[in-house]
Amino acid sequence: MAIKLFDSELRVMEVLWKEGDTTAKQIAEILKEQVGWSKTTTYTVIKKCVEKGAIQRIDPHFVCRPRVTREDAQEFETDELIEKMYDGAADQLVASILGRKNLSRDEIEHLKQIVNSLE
Amino acid sequence: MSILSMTLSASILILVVVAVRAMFLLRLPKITFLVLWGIVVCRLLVPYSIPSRFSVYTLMDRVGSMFSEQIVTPISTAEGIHSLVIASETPAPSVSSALSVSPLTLVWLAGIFVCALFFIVTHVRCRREYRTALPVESDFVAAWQREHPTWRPVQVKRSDTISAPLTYGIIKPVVLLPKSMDYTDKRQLRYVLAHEYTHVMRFDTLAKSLLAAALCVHWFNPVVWVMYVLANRDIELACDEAIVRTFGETTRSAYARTLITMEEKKSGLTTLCNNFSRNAIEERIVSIMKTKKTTTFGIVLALVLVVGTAAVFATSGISRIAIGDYTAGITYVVEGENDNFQTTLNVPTEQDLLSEYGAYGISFDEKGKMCFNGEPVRYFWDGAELDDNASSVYYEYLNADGTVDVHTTRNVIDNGDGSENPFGELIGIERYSQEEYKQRDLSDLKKSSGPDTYVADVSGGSGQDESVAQRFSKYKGYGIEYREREGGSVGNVYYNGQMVRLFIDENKWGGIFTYRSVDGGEIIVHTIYDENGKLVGVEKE
Repeated sequence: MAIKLFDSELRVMEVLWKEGDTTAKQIAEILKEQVGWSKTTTYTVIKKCVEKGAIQRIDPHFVCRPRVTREDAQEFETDELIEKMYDGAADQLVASILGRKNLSRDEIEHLKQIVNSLE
Repeated sequence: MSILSMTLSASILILVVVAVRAMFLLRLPKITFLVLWGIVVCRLLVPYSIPSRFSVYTLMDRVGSMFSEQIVTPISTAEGIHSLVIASETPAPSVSSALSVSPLTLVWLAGIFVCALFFIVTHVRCRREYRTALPVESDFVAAWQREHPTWRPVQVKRSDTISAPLTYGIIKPVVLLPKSMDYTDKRQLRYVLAHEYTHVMRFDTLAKSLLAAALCVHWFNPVVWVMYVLANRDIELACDEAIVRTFGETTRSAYARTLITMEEKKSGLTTLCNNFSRNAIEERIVSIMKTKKTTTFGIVLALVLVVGTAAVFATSGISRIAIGDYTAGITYVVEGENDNFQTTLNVPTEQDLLSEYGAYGISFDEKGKMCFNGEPVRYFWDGAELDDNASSVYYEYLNADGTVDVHTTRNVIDNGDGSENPFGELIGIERYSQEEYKQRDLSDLKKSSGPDTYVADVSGGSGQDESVAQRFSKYKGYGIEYREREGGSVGNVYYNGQMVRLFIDENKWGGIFTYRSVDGGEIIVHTIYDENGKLVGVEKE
């Protein structure tokens, strides 16, 4: 399931991915702490997520349940990146990641494992 | 001042500013244009204007009077002289009364409503969107904020919904940076923050709101749209100029490049007015690259332009009510059998009166008495109430045997410079109410309210703007003396020490000046001219 989420919406999703089901009230409290949003702002963003189908609203108490996983969101962002920057060629993206100077030893090992597992 | 006269005079001013801008944009400190636009916005939103003798409208009035045959300046009766500068200071409500709102006014108000709604809705929507912005996690930005304390707390946030930096909020300003910005490029960040902070310091958000307000009120005027676009650009240009001055001229190209980078990202959205924005960005780049040190000459030129433009175009003319094409001179008729005096100077004939008032129920019986819808008229008044309980009269008729009092109603013409001419087109003749009829004291009318006073000058004659005192200085050699009352503009006339009830100066060309002393008096004096039209004396009647 691929949904385009804006930064603000991802911020709400982050809370849910970390905490699991959470009431809107709690999300608002957490985000007030984190990014200084007012309650109404948080509710606006939650509503947006509900509309997009990223959050399921469970009453009573307006409990929010994530309907997309972090991986879903990542996949969408990656697809978009490949489409936008690499003309739809995923290998170019991989090449460019591998070509980066700042990959640590661990990261390189991890990448090798992924390639092996896919073969 | 009506909305039309406001919009017209402001349009002239805008066109002047546009011309000045085209000529001197790169040569003057940009603040000059902001000040000029400020004057324009005041002109658009403030329904009062300052009368000035340097005003272009005064000039037009003068020039206009050279070509018109005769300018008649009515001067009130009871008050002696009534200088009509006041007329230009009293704004007329653009909506005269709730009952008589013309359809055009309704259209205008509806337009304001629609425009304002558009701005407010967009603003509220964006605001809601921007509130979901996230804090910027950048040490550089935090350091910048510490180094640049402002007396209003400024928040810097980032959002992925915008593509170029912006600032919003007047009381609690927020600088919003696009997510796509390169937060590692310190130089670029510094320029962007300096630019947005300059906007905050200068209350540019407030300025833009005022521009939008002016646009809403004058939505029907394309010239105001031009102003809106250019003034918004000039706010940016002035801001850019401040940055170049802060960072030094060597940074011009780097700053310009930063701008282009930002603009490139933005242009994806503005396909609709792409050409337009390209033109604007080009103007911005050129103006940045050509920012020069302000010279003394530049400052002087800027001051001269601002003061000059303001004095000449942003003021209203000092004009008096000019009744054009009024050639009958003084017209005052008293009919009655008793001892009152009769001034019969250029008395209009029945024919004249019929042609003027006939269409509205005025006729004359076989004895030549005026009738209104067949009833004999006791008192007829064609005039206008001016301010200060004064009135000016065009034609007055009195017949003690009449049974009905009537008066005319006329359109008021807005002269377009803040003054009004109460003697517009005749639109009807109405009866005074029974109460007013009973209250009217005929003896009072016969005695104290003599002829109305007019100054009628033949063009090329003495200037229109002379005061009463100046006027009377002409007759000094003939024993006439005018003593102004304290408080000015009214007074008494004396002839060899005697108070003059009525002074009449009728020259060869039919120009008439009559004056009535405020405190009564007992004699009537008129002037004598030789056949060449030269004043040779005065005599008591």
